[in-house]
Amino acid sequence: MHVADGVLSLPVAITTTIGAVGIFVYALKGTKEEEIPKISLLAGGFFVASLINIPIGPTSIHPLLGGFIGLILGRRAPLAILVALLLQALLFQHGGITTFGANTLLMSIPALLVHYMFINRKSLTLFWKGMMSGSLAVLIGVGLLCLLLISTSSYYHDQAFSVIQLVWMAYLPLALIEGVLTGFAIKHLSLIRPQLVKHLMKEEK
Amino acid sequence: MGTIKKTTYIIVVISFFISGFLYNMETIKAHRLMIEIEKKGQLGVYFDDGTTASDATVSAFDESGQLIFEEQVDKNGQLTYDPALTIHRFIAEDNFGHRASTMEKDTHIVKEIPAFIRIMIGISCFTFIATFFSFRHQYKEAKEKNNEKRGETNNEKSFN
Repeated sequence: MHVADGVLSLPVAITTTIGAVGIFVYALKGTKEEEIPKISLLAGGFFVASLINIPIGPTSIHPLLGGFIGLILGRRAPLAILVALLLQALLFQHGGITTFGANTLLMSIPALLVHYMFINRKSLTLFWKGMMSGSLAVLIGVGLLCLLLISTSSYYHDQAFSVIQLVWMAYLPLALIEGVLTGFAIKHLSLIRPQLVKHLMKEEK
Repeated sequence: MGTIKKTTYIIVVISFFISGFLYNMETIKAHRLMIEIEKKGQLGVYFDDGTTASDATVSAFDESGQLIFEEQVDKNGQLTYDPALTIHRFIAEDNFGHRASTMEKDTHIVKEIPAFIRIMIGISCFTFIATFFSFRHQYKEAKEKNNEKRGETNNEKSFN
C-alpha cells in the first residue's frame, strides 16, 4: 500500500499532499496531552504491523490496521499514521517523498471513515464493529489507491488484466483476515482494557 | 494512567516478539523494490526480502531521458540487455505500485544498520514518547491534586 516515488503524477502528488496537510491539521486540532501516549502506542503498532509481509502472487501486501486505529483513536488516527509512515520512510525507505501525502491519505481516510461509521451503531456488537471496520478500512484504502492510479494514468486500468484488478485481487484476502483479527482484537480489548474502547461500548446493552 | 502503563508494557512485549520473529527469519519481509546490476548486460529486480519480482517491467533511459528499451524480467527477476548500450537510468515497476530506480544511490547510512536494530529504534521512539507524556500527565495531575489539598487546608486554617 506504500506508493513509491514516481508512481503518481505530479498534480496527483501535489493534491494529495495538500489533502494530507488538511487531514493532519484536522486531527491535531484540540489534541490533549493525555491522548498522546495512546496515539504513540498505536503508531508503534502500525509501524510494526506494516513490516509483516504477506506474499501474494508476484507481489506482497502487509496489514494496514486502519479499522483498529480508526476505532480506537477516532479523529486522532491520522496523527498516528503520519508519524509511523514518517519513521518507516526514514528507517526503511518505504513509500516516497512525493507520495508521502498520498500514503498518509490512503491510510488515514479509511480510519476516519470507519470511526464515524461505527461509533454510534447501536445494533452491532463490538466484534462485528471491529470486523466490519477492519475489512471496510482495507477496501476503502484500496478503492482510494485505485482512484489515485486512475487519476494518474490510463495505463493502470486499460489492460485486459489491469493493475487495478490485480490490486483488488491481492487485497481482498487481506480485507477478510484483517476484519476477523480486528473483530477479535476489539472484543478482547473490551474485556481486558475496557477504558480503551469505552467510546464504542457506551451504546451497548 | 495505569491502563496506559500496562498497555505500553503489552505493546513493548508484543513488538519485541514480532521483532524477534522477523529477526529469526533473517530478513525483514518488507516490500521495497530494488534493482541490482549483476554485471554489465544483466540486472535483477528483487523485493528487499530477497524474493524476486517476477512481474516487474524494466525501462532503460539515456541521459536526456529518452526511453531506450522497456522489457519484462523473467520468472527469476532477471533481465539481459545489450552491454554496449549507454544507459543512464533503469526504472523497475511491478503491477502493484512498487517502483525502483538506479538513480537512487544506495548510500543511505540507515541501510547499513541491521533491520532488527531499525525496528527497535522505531519502537523505542514511540515507547519513549508514550512514556514521557504519560509521566508528564501523571505529574501534572499529582501537582494539581496537591494544590487543591493545600488550598483546602489553607481555607480550613483561615476559617478557624
